[in-house]
Amino acid sequence: MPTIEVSYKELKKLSKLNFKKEKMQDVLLTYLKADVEKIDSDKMTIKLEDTNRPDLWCVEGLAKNLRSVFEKKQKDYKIEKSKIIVDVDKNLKNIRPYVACAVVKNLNISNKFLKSIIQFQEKLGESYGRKRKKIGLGVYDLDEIKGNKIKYCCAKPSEKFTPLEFNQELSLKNILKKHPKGKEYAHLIEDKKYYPVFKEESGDILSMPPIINSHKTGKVTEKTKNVFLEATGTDFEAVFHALNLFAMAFAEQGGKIYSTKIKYNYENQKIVEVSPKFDSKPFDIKIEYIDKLLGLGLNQKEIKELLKKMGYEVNKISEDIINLSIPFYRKDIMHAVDIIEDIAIAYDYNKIKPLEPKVYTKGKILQETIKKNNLREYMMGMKFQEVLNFTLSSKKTLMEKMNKKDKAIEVLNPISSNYAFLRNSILPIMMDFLQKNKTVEFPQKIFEVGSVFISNKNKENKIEQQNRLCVIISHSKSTYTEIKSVLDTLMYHIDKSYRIKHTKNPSFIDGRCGKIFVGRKKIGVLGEIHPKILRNFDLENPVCALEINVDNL
Amino acid sequence: MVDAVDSMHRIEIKILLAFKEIGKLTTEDILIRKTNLDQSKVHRAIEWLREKKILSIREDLKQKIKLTKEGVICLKKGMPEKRFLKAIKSKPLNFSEIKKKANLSNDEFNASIGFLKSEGYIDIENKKIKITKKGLERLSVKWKQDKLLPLLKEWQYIDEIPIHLKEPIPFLIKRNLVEEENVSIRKVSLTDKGEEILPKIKENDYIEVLKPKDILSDVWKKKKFRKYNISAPSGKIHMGKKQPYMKFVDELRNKLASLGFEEMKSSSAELSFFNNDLLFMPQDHPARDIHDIYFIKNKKGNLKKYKNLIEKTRKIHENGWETGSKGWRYPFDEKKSKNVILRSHTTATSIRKLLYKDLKIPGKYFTIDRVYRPDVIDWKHLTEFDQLDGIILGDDMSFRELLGILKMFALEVGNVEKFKFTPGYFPFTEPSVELHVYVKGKGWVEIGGAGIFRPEVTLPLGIDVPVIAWGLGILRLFMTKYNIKDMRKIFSDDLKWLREFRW
Repeated sequence: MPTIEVSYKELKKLSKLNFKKEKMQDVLLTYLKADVEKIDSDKMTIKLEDTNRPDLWCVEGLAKNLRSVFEKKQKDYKIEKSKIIVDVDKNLKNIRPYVACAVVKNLNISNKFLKSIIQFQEKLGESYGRKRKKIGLGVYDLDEIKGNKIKYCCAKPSEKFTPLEFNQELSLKNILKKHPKGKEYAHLIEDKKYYPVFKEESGDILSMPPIINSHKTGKVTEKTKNVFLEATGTDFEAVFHALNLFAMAFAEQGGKIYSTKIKYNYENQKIVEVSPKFDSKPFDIKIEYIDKLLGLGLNQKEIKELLKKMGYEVNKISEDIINLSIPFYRKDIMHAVDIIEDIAIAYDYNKIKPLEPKVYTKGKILQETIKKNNLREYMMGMKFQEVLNFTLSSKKTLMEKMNKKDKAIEVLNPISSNYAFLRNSILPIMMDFLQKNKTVEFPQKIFEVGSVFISNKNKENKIEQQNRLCVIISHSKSTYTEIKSVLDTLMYHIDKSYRIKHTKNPSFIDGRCGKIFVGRKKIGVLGEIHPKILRNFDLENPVCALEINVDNL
Repeated sequence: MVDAVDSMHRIEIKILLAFKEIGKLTTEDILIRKTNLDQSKVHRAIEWLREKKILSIREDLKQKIKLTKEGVICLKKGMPEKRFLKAIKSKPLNFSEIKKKANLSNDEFNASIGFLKSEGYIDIENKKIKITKKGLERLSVKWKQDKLLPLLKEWQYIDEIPIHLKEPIPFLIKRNLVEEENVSIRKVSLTDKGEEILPKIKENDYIEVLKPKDILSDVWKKKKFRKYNISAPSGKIHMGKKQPYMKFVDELRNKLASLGFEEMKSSSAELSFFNNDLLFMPQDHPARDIHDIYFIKNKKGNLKKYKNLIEKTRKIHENGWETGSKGWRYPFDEKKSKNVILRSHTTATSIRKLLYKDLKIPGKYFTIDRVYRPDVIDWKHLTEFDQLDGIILGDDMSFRELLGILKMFALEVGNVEKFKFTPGYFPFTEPSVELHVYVKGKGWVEIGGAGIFRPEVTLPLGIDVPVIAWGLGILRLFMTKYNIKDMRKIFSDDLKWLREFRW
């Protein structure tokens, strides 16, 4: 979820709400899921919980929504037509196909506004645009662009322009190699034969989306009066929506919005789109459904008022159906439930009276849990301390130090080699535990009941998760007999007869290690750990161990 | 005073009785010999008596000596100097003749010749050695060493050696025939209180450890029990004890069962289909990428069993299917569903439960189980931890009931008086809510998230009643309850901490 920095004064000014900081913090969280994490004099650091509401990721958007909640007057966004036409090269189909544009005039750009739009542009590209892959946005000084015809087209990697903050021309290819933004986002286009660019009428390159603008047109300052905006990407709806939101932020700051025409010619179909478009969408919702989900018994009038607070317009209410308009900036509304949540938020969650659910059911703990708990109790009765270890471990612990060859399941993207494998046995982790407690008083008698993971082709996830019990005894005189008597006592109490067969196991002393069978099933192993293994774990006292699969008991 | 006598240990009595024979002042060694007890026992009992102010102790440094290896040889063969003189008593001899006749090693010979020369007992002429008059005189008197050496076979305190034998000691030390050592001697003496008590001490008057034979022999009718020092320090016992966090989980599980919830469980190695797709998380959602979920290497799941469900899920994501939703509007990729991952939330278990045939409606279910996140471990992050998830399904469930459940958790499980709700966001619930509780000294702490499952989640699973779902941050609850600051303690690898933890 994105985090943004917002000027408290700017928020007060734009929202026309003269709230103190605490109150502002409170209403942001209550109505907009905006969690103020820090206030540093004028600077508020805000985490936006809703990853699906990019309209809130700038001070302009927050202010607009707050004005709605507190029933302040909203700005009227009248869009006039500009003369700008953007021609889309049909060869971009498989490169970066979609583009939306807008023109904003009569701006009075303050330093705060400049910071805010740059941040908004970044957040839209990073989070909503999936690191600019799905959407990237650009701002241009309109007065530096010559002519009304702009081309969004393919360019050879050898074509040149001067990127932002550089003082000489570079080829597109070199921009990807040398410009900081080029390096950061090169992976998005570098494997293509052609790169996407915007060109002005003269053929000069304005920018290479979603990487970098030209120095000439891309530099927007406090002196800039008129701007050209664009969004490009791979998802038609998302590109047009992001552009709408971006244009809305400018409009909130007093800019005058002009639309542009985008001419597409994919699949030999000539289509002209107009952007931005601030069109609301009609939606029908049943009062009965609202009541079923919220249980608040709201009447028509109440619902209408709550909806209005959240920015919806109610067009008509017939008996049970409310016909409303979803504002253009709310693309997150996918289903009636999304609107119903807004009604609850407008009502204020903390004013809703909680109701104790009247569902009478019998509580139950799983047999598996009960079985594990019994074993744990027996172990504690024998004076063993219970321990709890991680299930992720390292190759070194699971295999190398145990002198084992059987391969554990590996994680593709570990954060550290210490947690790169799922344990296939608890014993190695216990050895690690002993090593960390070398200086703690002996005897050390510990156990863990926990999961291990074994490859199994028959499972739908190809992995079998087993419950195991691992028991460890370590002191200067610990012997096989001691661990055997633990096994014996356990098996007696869970009423299972078992046999032990000699086995060779690279972690144990030959002749002092056995496989444990219940019936024909092998359920585990016990024995005295080989001194070689003890040395691998830097241990000086003998260790006897037992590990059994609890599921097979 | 009577108590002091009655509570005396058998060994203390033995020691005090020894004082009756020895007198007021003695040493620990003598007491050991007299009582015929182990040094450690005597030592301990003397300490007890000192604490009771019956004895006082003074440490004295003393020197003791004993024959070295060379000394033992001299004891057998006689002093080399004496043997040397004897060999030339009748006539002068050359070096090798003397060595042979007197049976002297090179070292013994060299040491002797120097000494005899400097004392004027011999003369050397023409490579032959001749005894002097003084030497003859020396031979005629008794050598004090002859009487001293046998005494020194064992360690002897110098001050216990008779004065007339002491003279050669410095010479023997110089010749390396005896070794010396300084030891501290514990001198033990009766205090005034001790002298007062002594007459009352009698042997065998008390029953010490009660033994089966004492019970049967009726000895307890005749004898007194020795009174123990019941506050004396005793050893620690390492109990067989639950791991602290596991105990907390056990209690929570019992609590939930008592509130009518049934436990559910599924493997923490999960398919992306269950962890993400069925929860209506779009396939390009940031919470699904490698920075937020562990993927398993070289494994793809088998989803043959779920063919119909995958088709529905595809439609849900692409256009909302029959749910009335418009969907996420992107092309769904079944390959991504097959990724084997370590689940990032236990909501995957709730989803599986909703699929199982044994699901009851109305029903209440919960799970407490392991989840994984690729986070670097530090005091407030773990890469694997537990989550508590629960669902309630029933026709009458609404948002108010969801808040009711959260209120109950805040009061019953969180044990707090103040709580509040804030709107939350999860891709799979709507409305969504977060629960915050007020912790003294800490302020508002978020302890859980909840919501009503979206129709896009429940309808493809064939569930047409509202399902309210909630998750509680049990790590935070545990840490708050026991005032633990470092999250790593939950999986503590510190045996001492585990042994000493108090709940």
